This record gives sequence, C-alpha cells and structure tokens, in this order.
Amino acid sequence: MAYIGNPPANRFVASKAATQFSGDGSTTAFTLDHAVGSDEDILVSVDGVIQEPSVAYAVSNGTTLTFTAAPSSNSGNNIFVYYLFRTVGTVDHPSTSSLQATDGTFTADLTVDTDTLKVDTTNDKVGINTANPNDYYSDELVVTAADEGGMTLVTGTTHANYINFADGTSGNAAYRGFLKYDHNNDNMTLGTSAASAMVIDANGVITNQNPSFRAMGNNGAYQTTSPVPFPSVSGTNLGGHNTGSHYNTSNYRFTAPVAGRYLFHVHMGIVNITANGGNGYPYLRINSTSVAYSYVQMPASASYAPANVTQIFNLAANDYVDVIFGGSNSQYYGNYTELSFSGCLIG
Amino acid sequence: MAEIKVTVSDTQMKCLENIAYSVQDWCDNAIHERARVAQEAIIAKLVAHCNEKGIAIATGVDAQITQAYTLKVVDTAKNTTDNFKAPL
Repeated sequence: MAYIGNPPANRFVASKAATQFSGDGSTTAFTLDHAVGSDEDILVSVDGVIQEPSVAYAVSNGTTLTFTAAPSSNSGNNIFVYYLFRTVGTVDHPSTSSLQATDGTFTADLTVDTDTLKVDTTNDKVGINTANPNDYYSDELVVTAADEGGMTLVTGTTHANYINFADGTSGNAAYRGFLKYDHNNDNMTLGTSAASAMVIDANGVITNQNPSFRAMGNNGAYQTTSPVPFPSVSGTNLGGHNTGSHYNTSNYRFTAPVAGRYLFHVHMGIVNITANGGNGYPYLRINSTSVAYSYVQMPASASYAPANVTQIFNLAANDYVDVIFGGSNSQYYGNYTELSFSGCLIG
Repeated sequence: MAEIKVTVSDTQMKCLENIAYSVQDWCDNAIHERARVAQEAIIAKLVAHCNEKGIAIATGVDAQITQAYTLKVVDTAKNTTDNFKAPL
C-alpha cells in the first residue's frame, strides 16, 4: 500500500510463549530465553507434571532456572517452561518529576542541589552545605555556614535540649559528656563524667566544681598545736565546704589535684602573747617548705592580735599546702570563728 | 599492706628535693591523698547503688570498698581499660 515517508519498523514482535529443554538426569540448571522477576513468573512442567515454584525450582539472575533435583532423561523435550510474566525492561524515574516513596535505600551517594545535602556513602560522611565533608577532621557530620549561619536545636519553652558525648549506649555511657540548654530556667550546663561540671545561669553567672575549701578549727581553747588543725569543713551557716574533697581533714593538708594557681587564706583571729616580748606567726607551707607567714610580737604579756596570711601559689599537681604555727611565748585560739584555712583554684 | 617502689635518678632526686622538704613525705602524701579521693568516690557510688537496689551497705571503709568491687559497682582501671570495647 502506498504511504509517505520512511517504511515503518517492526514495532511489535511476538515473543516465545514457552521454552523447551531436554533433561538428562544430571543437569539441574537451564537458561531461559526471557528474563523473569520471580519463581512464580513461569509455569514449569517436567514429564507432564507441574512443578512447585521455589520448591522444585528457582530462578536466579533473571534467566537461570535451577531445579532442586535433576529432571529425568527422556527422549525429546520433557521440560516445558511457560512464561506467565516477563521482565521486559526497567523504568527510570523522570529527572524533572518529584519522587514519592514510603521509604528507600540508597547504595550510592545522595546529593541534593550539589551541596545542600551530601551523603557520601564511600566515606560514610554527611555534609550540609558542603559536597566534601570528608575533607574535615571530625567529619561524620559537617555543616558549613556563612557568617551568622549555623545549627539550631528547637524545643518548647519548658523543655531542655542536649548535645551528648557517648562511649556506650546504656546508663550514663550515653552522656558521659554533654552540653545542655534548659529553657525552663535558661541555664546552660557543661557536663563531664556524666555530671554537671559548670553552669551558666540566665544572668551569666558561672558556677563550677573547681577545687575549693573552707576548713575551721573546733577547739575553743588556746593552743600551740602545729601543724595547725582545721578539722571541720561543715557546720550550719559556717560556710564550710570541701568541693572535690582535696582538703584532708585528718592531716589538714590541701593537695592540688591539677597544676594551677591557687588562692589561700589563713585566718588566725587571736594570737595571745603570754610573756613580755613573745611572738607568734602562722606559716603557710608548700610541701612542708615554709613559704609565707604573718608575724606578731608584743612587748607585754597578755596581749592579743590577729594574724592573717593570704597568698596565691602556683602549684604542680600533688603539691600540698598546710599551716604551721611558730614563735615563742604565744598561742592561738582554736575555735571555728577564730581559726580557719581556705583556698580555691583560680585557674 | 602493699608496697609501691619508685626508682628515681640522682638528678630526679635533686629536683624533688628542690620542691619538697621531704621527698618521701611528698610521695606518701600524693599517693595517700589520691587514694583517699578515690575512696570517697567509690563509697559514693556504692551508696547510690545500694540505695537504688535495696542492698545493705557493709560496715567500715575496708568492707565497703570490697563490697563495691564484689557488686561490680567499680572495677580496676586495668580491667576497665583492657575490657573496653568500642561501641561503634
């Protein structure tokens, strides 16, 4: 028949509806003429008996038909495979259309708009606003941002948020270190060893667990004991404390847990001169080496004067500080209001 | 009683003598103080554990430290380090 233009191609081709094989009693694998997607996509007959899919046979790689037991040897073809469904091709998602799915698994990189989001499956990294998170030092999640950019955790006005540092999944291993912001009171907390270490409150006031102590005497009598005893770090409304427990209430020494600058003060409220020309002095020592003292001497007996010492010491870890009392014909009063030793780490 | 022996060179000894009136006392204090701080931390953990589990706390510091190890509230730093398995 006459037509205009090129001759039409053969667009429709009848495919084979069945494939025949001849069993030999030993061969179990046969190659199909057409790829199929599952065992149920074909109807298989051996010696006139319909075979059960996935039990008597299975299809792998689309075209490999494998029998559980080798079909028998008969003259002519005794294996018939009828194609119920065939895999005729794959469909690519149109690049200009949105993709909708309930879930998905990506085996290669995921890239959103070049660098808005990059999931680098080769290196197991994720980048936000960067296409190369693997370039950075700590790079499992990398966020790059312009000036004033960054990351925000959002929650309710009565809630708290955390950034945690974990070395396990159970107990406090899940939050050994943490940064917490509590919107209830607008407090920011830094945590170490799974406990609060430093708090910045809503007014910017910082509290922490730096070593600090105030130790007091508890002997309401004059004495000359040296080293000077400050056995009490507690008591109602006395301000006693021993943060970090680095002051020893048995030997009256403060031992520096870390190197740093420490402030110390000795309050000796009453030094009593017991004879004419007597003298007395509290002496601050580092590692039993006398370092600083406050000297009291009076020409007449039954004289009284305070003696205080305040020092900032640069200490190495494990250096210790204590107080001795020296002099002659003198004594000090040892109750908590007249005798105290305090100190703290400055930095 | 356990004895810990530390050997230092003559030079190191001279350095230590520069910072401590008694080097032996400085060493003793460092060891004893670190042990005391650790002891307080262990007992605090033991008390918290026993209160939570309803377990009677042993009497006396020695017994309490032993109980803390028996209940596996604490372990030696060596065991903790050697048995550590990265969770990731």
